[in-house]
Amino acid sequence: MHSDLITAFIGLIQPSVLLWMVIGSFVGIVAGILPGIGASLTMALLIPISFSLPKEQGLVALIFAWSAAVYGGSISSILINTPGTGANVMTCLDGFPMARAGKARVALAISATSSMVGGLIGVFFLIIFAPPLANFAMKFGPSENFMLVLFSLVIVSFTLKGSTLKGLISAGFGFLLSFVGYDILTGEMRYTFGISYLEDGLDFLLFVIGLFAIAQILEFLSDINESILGVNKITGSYAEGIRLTIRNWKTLIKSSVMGTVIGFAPGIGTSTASVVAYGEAERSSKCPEQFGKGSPEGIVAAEASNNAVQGGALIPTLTLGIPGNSDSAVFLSGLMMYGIMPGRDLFQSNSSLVYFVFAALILSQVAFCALGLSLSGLFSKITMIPLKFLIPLLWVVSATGTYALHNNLIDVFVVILIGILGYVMRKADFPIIPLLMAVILGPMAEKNFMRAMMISDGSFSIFVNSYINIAIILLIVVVISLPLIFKKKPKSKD
Amino acid sequence: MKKQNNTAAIFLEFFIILFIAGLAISSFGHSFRAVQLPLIMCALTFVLVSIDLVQTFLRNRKDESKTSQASQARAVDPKLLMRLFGTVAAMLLTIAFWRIIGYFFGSIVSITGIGLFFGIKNRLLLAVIAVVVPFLLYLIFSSFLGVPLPWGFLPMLF
Repeated sequence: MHSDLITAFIGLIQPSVLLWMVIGSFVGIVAGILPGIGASLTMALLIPISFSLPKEQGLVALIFAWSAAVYGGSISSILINTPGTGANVMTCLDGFPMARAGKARVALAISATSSMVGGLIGVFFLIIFAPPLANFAMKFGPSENFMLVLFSLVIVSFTLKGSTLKGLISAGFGFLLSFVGYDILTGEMRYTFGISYLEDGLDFLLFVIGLFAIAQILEFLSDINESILGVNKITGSYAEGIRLTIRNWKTLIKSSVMGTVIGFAPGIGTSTASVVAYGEAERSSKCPEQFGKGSPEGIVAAEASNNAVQGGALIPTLTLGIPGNSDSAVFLSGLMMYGIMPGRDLFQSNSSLVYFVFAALILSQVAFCALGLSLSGLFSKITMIPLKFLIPLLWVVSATGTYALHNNLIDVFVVILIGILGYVMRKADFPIIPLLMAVILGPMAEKNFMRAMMISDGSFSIFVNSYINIAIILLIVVVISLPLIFKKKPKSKD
Repeated sequence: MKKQNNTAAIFLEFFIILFIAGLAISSFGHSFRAVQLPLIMCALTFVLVSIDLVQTFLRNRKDESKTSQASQARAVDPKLLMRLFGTVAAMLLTIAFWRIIGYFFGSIVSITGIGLFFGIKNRLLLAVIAVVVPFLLYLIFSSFLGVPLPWGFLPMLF
């Protein structure tokens, strides 16, 4: 195995391959920053280009763009409180307050380094534990997947600051919005109220852009003469960010492992991982009161876990041919384009190419981290732009990203309505993250719920008769009851 | 501020209840399998919203008794309201501009309009930004990502 990996690394050190590493990383970061683009779309758009390249260069372009896009989403989360993708939602909670406090550069450095470590741990798991973990992933049936979605929604409602009841209402409302459109299994058209636009349902990316970008624009209107920066100047360096990441090494490793493990639950991993890791980081933190106010530990947890998902999601993708998420599904199509067929014997039949993919994944984490750190100073200057200049720019970028989703102007109109909803929710102290999570996970939850009910012939007992489900239920009970039993007390004065 | 939050919460909760009612009513006529989970979620969310609505009403009444009329009058900032309505109107107009004069010119008009509405004094900088940003976005989205950005009715004139 070692020799295969070393040979793969040597294969990567070619000028033409190195060039595509840089191009892939840069394209990925830019696409990650732009709301609504994300890793899947970036790779989908790169596939036709990469197909015209030699196999090694094409794969490198796809892998580097994928890794960088997941990281890139955190940049806009930190700087303008707008996640580039659903995976970066939890980064907003602490990243944006840090940016407002003049620590944008530190937050960006924490994000880059924790993303890199998370990604590397995910790939490490992929290389070492792929076959046995794939067997465990097979134990996740429809009922287990449904319970996992419920678990992540309960976690997010209980973790966020403010009223838990409002968090649960927000999640419930998000679920209801996700039911609009064609029913996945029966094919029936529901809750469209005669509007043909709603037949395909509402794309969750409309909610990402509306609830964050547009609602944030409306929020900015109260102080248009200021900038995002709430203090006089930007302080801190990227070295401070790296130091803070290392200081939170326990959270870093724990969140990365959680991201990897949750990542191989097909379809659920990406968004769930950062929520669960963030919740756990807050629960076990010495300063839980800092979470949501600019805690470096919060950024570490969110970013390490969402990048670790990449390795985790690739475990069922490569060993079983079941993509762990939409990103790995697009990547799988890229692999198949080069004639790489996933399966249990992939590691024997095509080992040199598999190790080439592993080596590229490892290097891609280092590449986006280096690029992210070197550009953090430049990016952090965005927080100094007066809001009266930034608002029209943010609007045009968000509207363009929205239009690009389906080339439909109605999407832009809908995103404005969702933005107004997000603004009212903020004013009413309703957390928006549970709503977004429910919209993202709703279709997955419903599909798995219906499959489970079909398997059990309509009996709800299927949700309690596997040891994974019982473990998840126990975890939900623990999450709900712990705050009631022990009132949170800050353990430290920091 | 608290009163404002309570009013927004009550408004939102009534909206959610209306949405739940709409969903529940339109569930009739569909197979049970297609609406089973939606109906469960409707019931759960309705119970949660009702509890919160009662809590908000009680809180609102408590706040009302504490707050004087003068401070209530100061609660809504007319300038902010004007900015909110103006910005949303500008956003909606952007869609119309894209449809009529195309993405590039529509975005220029939109950025310039919002900038002037916010009282930007440096007109030259605003003009440069209004041209450069849509141009860069056009390059990224249209040339690289292959997104067919709206052309409007302009090509029909030539």
